[in-house]
Amino acid sequence: MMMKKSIIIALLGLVIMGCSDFLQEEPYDFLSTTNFYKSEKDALAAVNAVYDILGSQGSVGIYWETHYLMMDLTTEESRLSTRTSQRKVEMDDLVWDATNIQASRLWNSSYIGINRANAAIARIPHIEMNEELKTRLLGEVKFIRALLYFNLVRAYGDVPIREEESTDLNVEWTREPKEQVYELIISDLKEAKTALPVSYDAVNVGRATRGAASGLLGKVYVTMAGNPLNDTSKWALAVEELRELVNAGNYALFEDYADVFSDQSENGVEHMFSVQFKKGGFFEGSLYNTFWSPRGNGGLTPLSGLEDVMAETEFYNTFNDSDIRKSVTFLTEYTNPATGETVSFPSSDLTSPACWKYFDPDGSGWRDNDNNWMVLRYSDVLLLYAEALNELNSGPDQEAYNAINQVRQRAGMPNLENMDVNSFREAVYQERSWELCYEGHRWYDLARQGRFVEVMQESGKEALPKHTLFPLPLDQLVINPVKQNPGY
Amino acid sequence: MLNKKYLKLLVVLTKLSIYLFLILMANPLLANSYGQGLKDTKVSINVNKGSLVDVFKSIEDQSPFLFLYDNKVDNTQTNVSMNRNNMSLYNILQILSKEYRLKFKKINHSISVSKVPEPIQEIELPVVIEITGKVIDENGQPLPGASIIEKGTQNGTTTDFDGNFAITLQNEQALLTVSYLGYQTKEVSINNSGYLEIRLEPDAGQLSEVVVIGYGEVEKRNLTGSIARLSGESVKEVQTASLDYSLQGKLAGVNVTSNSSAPGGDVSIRIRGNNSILGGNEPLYVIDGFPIYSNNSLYSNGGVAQQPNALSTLNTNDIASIEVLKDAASTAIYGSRGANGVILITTKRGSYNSKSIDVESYLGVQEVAQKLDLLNAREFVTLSNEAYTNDGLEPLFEDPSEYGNGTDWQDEIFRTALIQNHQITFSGGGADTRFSVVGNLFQQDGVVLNSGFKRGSLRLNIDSKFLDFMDIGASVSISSSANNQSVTDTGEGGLFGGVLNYALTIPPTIDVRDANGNYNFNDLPSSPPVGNPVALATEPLNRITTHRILGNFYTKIDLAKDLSFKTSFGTDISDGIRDFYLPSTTRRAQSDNGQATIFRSRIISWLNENVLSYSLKKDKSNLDVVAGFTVQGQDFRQSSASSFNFISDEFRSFNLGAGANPQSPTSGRSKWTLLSYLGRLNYNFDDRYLFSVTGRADGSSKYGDGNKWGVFPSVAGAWRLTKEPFFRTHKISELKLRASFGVVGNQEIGEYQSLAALTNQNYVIGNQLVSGIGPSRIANPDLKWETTEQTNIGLDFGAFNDKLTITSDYYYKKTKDLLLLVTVPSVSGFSQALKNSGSLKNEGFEFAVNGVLSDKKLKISLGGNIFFNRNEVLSLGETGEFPSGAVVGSIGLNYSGVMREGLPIGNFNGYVYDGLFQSEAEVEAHGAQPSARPGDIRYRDLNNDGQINTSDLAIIGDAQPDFTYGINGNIAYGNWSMNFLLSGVSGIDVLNMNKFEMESLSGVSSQLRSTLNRWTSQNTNTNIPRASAASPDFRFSSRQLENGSYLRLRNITIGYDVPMDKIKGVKGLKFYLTGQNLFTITNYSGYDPEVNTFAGQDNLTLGIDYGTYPRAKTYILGMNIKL
Repeated sequence: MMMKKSIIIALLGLVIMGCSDFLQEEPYDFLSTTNFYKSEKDALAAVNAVYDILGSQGSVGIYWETHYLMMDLTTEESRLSTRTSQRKVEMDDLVWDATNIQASRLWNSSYIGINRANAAIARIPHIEMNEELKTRLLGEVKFIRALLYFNLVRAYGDVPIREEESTDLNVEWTREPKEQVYELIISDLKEAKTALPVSYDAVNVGRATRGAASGLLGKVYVTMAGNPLNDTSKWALAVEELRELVNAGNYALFEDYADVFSDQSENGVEHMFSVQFKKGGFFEGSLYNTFWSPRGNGGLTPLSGLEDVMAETEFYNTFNDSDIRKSVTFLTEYTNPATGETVSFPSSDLTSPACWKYFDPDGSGWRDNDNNWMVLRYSDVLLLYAEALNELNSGPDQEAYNAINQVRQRAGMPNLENMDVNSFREAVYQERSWELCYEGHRWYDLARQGRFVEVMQESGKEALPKHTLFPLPLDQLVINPVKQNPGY
Repeated sequence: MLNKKYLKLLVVLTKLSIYLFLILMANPLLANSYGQGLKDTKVSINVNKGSLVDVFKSIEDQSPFLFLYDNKVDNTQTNVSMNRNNMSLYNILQILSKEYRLKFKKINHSISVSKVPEPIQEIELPVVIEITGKVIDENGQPLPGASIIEKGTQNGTTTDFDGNFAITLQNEQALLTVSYLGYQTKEVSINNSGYLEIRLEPDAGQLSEVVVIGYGEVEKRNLTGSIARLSGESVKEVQTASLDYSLQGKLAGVNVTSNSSAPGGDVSIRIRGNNSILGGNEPLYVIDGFPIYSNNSLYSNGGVAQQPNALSTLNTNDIASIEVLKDAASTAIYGSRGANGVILITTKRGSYNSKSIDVESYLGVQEVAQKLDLLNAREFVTLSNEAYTNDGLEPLFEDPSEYGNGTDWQDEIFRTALIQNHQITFSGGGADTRFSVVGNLFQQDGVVLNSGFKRGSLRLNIDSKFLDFMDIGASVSISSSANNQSVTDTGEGGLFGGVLNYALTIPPTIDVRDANGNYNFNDLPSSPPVGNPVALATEPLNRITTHRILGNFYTKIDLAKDLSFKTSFGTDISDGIRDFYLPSTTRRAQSDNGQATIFRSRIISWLNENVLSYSLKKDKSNLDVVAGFTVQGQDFRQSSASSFNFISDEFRSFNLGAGANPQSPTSGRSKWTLLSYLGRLNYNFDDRYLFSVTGRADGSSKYGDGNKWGVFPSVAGAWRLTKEPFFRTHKISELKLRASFGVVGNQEIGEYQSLAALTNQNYVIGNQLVSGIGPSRIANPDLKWETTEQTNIGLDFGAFNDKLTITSDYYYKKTKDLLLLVTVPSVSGFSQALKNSGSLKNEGFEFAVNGVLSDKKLKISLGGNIFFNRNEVLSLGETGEFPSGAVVGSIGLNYSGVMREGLPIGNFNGYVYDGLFQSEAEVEAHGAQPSARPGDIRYRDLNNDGQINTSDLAIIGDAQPDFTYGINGNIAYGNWSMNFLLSGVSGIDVLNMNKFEMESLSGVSSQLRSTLNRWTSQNTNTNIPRASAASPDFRFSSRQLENGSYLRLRNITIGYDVPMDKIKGVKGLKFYLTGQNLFTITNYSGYDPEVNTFAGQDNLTLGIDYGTYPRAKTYILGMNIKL
């Protein structure tokens, strides 16, 4: 009996008794809000995450594919070549509705970025760290938050304003008037402008600069002066802001237009703010190189293209043959390595020219190339400046001619002179299209210029007035009913 | 190629025969170890020049045996001398037999002696052992026709009209198994016994089986819940890589679907419907007491193709029984894991005082059950040119007459494949200890090139009555499996489509290789950028190697009379590696110059259970009580590393350092713990009124702080009318009413879901990767398990001594607090969050019937089951309606279904196909498709708003069956036997997504033969649209939806038992021939209607066929030997 008892006691001793923290979860491979936002390193990481929303791969990245699909493909400049994806077909054909996945991606991603920014803005001030760096980081975050709101207000009109980090599942929202959104954008950009440095050391290149904030602010004013606010008082503010920027002389045009797009010269003198991409399997590469080039591109890049988006032939034809930009922007001939035949546009293998701005001769990875995406570059600023001067002074002055002719000279185009307010306006509009095509500006430009429907109809696209705003995502309105944009 | 195949077959057969030879050689040793009685009885004989009678008398003096002989024996030998000391009687009889040409026959305690006539040279059996007796019923009446079998052999006889029998035994110490229908089978020891009178006790037939119920067992007749049982023999009837698939068609209420027919591929099991929308829907498996949720995604190791089946790492052939617990009363003992049903698996254990060796082997060939009928090159070119001409474009090809049949890509990727299984089981035991050792090798090559599954496993089960009050035992299984996956079932199209998708898309005009021997890809303009299917099938390495140890040790102590305590410790360790290499010869890795990945995962589960059991029998009252405390936990770790750009494809994934372009590594870890208290009380009065209460309290780490604990109770009762005195009809042997109600839970939501999380959101600064960290999940401290309430009412019926049995059940299940990804307004920065919101129901009826039609020399038994389930979403709470189902960008499919209140899960929400436009006038009249031309598809403008858009979507189908059924039969005549299994599903829709590309008529991808009947102005009476390069307005509509009802001959086996008097030393030898999937009756036009391409990723995407591995027909020849 002793043996029996001792065996029983020993067994009972083996039984693990539950203790109170046995059921507590311990995270291993992710961070929780309780163990983050503690150090300078954390602050930096929090800010980097805000940048990430711009270049993130796939559906989330604001500039990964969203901009060329929503701002370029929707216009007369480009067309969809591989017509298999519904969201893209709807963009190309101007038949999107509130269920279009692409249109909802910009909305959703922007607010993901805004929440990251709000989290950083809320948490970083409490971190003990170098104060100078802290100020700069907050400036960077505000720059990006302003950029995200600027895209939103242009694409959707009145949008909800979120300035606090989200911590509660129960969210109700309403659309705030555009004016209030712009107020926040302007105050964020002004704050960013004072907080940010003019330039960075090599390690930090790619971060938002004072010039980027200033240039974007100028662009904000120009936009406010146009459709739909038509607040013409902003022309003066635009001129003031852009003049300061131009006169500071921190930026210039590359001598060679091709250098703008070469990955050898990225973050160069003309680049004011670019979304940074890097190949190498980090999921941080860009896709333009493969998605925009034709199927057998003659080994111009190691990877044959996907032919997702191609140029519209009629747009290609608007370029003057002497325009240097024509050969940089388009690919019209290549040798098919399989057949050895030279493929030239127009032919059944190349029914229209390929968009060839972002071409990376070493680009060997799918969706994994080095080409940055330019959000703001100096020629854009020069053209905005010329446009604002023309509008403010009801006609071009010498400063306005200087600005636009700088851009034209580099393209090998003759100087403009002796123009009235209208013809100069037309010329700036045209120049923007030639200079900045396939860089995610066209739809924004046409919308603010109030010309979208007109220009599209001229090119044979069936545009309606509703197409100057994108619809709010239907699934969002189902859970939080607010007024949809007209026509959707 | 053909020669190679047969060579392989020959090698396997040779190996098999060597292996069998060795076992047969070992057999005499085994035989010698038997024998008591004649062999045990030692005698000493000292007879000099005497007679045989002197010898016999001497033996009689020293043993209990009496000799019977006549004068012939008595008088023939007078000069007998024999001097032997302490020699076994058996040997002495052998000597006598040889020297004096005698034959001995032991009958009970008598030994009869006869003289063998001179002409016969050899005496085959010098000593024959025979025993006689009588079989009677409980009233002492003889039972004619009762079966008596020498246990462990094929040797047997039946009683005569008076219940008498005589049986000649191979082993004089044998056990006799005596059985008679309607009576309990009895084993009788004939240890030196004389004439046997064997009394059989009446039995409620099958209902007396003991059923495992989770932390205990109960006689089947005393069940109050709904539990279905499958014997190990029945499991084995269908030869398959994993045990879950062997349940198909056999049990009412259990719906089994193979998601992919790849060897070792994913299988879905739904017990009584889909209970959950986002949580797990698979049942809990309890293997020899160890609970396992078989989460295939944990075992997939970052898969690029179909998910592997986690259960395929376990041997199917060592199962003794499977019990499926269906209602809440049965599963409540598993509390928060019981909602989807529980499958209890008991593996084979040895028997005390016995020994046996079983060798089971089969070998078979498989071929793809059906090929799709596609256009040949000439027809394809004709179509393509027509498509381009129709759109005013330059045709892509020259004159079609220059093309022949082209490449049959299906033939290029399919093959005839081998399947084989070899198992050896040593089982037995002494008086105190029993054991079973099972070694198994299983190999199934796939019908798609370069696919296959191999598994080697070893099981050791041991039980010992270690001390008079203490038992100990262990169940350990070790397995090693290699799943060679062909890249199929990727759920994507275009470049990332798999082998099947490639093969069904790439045009027949393309040759497999070019003149230089390099693979050709599909480079037609605007075509899906698919690679070469042969290259993708044969060139990559995609293998998951899994090592798994599942072990459970227990000790049971009798604390007092009827009170025992059992504690067990177990672990399930699984270590998996996926080796993945895409060489530069595949299109996907061409630009990267080879992509190599190693993905590793390790899952360690551990378990400790402590259970007190008490039972009391007093008068007619029987009470059983179980109370327990258990803890379980799991630790999952994974890591992966990749590298691109290899100088040589030789390294594959084995030298990542050789890649010039290393990729970012990943790793992860998660853990969960579960703490539980459980209890059950079973009470029955006179086996007539049965009552049980069960409960479990589970504390789970997976839930929010305020919701860690949940209690899951159930009650059940049953009334056996046949035990009532007023119930007098003897033709009805069983009539039992059952009712139960219980609440069970589902905790399968993944870990950490209630915590806020930040994730890596990296970016590039200064041309370097910099790490960014930002919010990714919002906290939800209120998160808890889903709760299912289930009511079950059942009736068990048996008649004619249970020759006919019927079990039927009605159930109603309501799942509340459904875990749903509630769409959080995206302005919060989050798109979705898990919340308990919504409810759904499953309501159904199950019916199973088994009948013995004949039990004479010709034995026929038939069984059938049918199962109806209605699934409906009752509420989606805050989520509201949301689109669900497959999203495949490459073919423009946004969502295939919708989650909506009042509809079942897994519906299809698409446009309504309304024939083809026949004229411009019809296009105009329709108005909503202004750009359409005659011959284009017309969709119904449901809301008549003059456009076809998402508001014209309608529910066009349902991927859940109206009913599922199975029919099985066993027929035996003499040594021949036959069994078959038909399984069927009715009222189910399948989305044939392959048709998106194969009936696109755009002239750049391979097309089904149906497109020969395409619309042209001359051929208007058709439902195939016109050819057009632009594939105008091609949407997901009722066009691609097909009726997926089918009836399949799942299995048919013909067996022959070789009569054992033919072969010495072998107790049993059976040969059988099996055919699987020999025919499937269906209207479905794809490979097979039983398909579920996306099920691995998503519970909600049911019934879709897209590039799925096709089903095989299998022919198997097998042999079982018992020694």
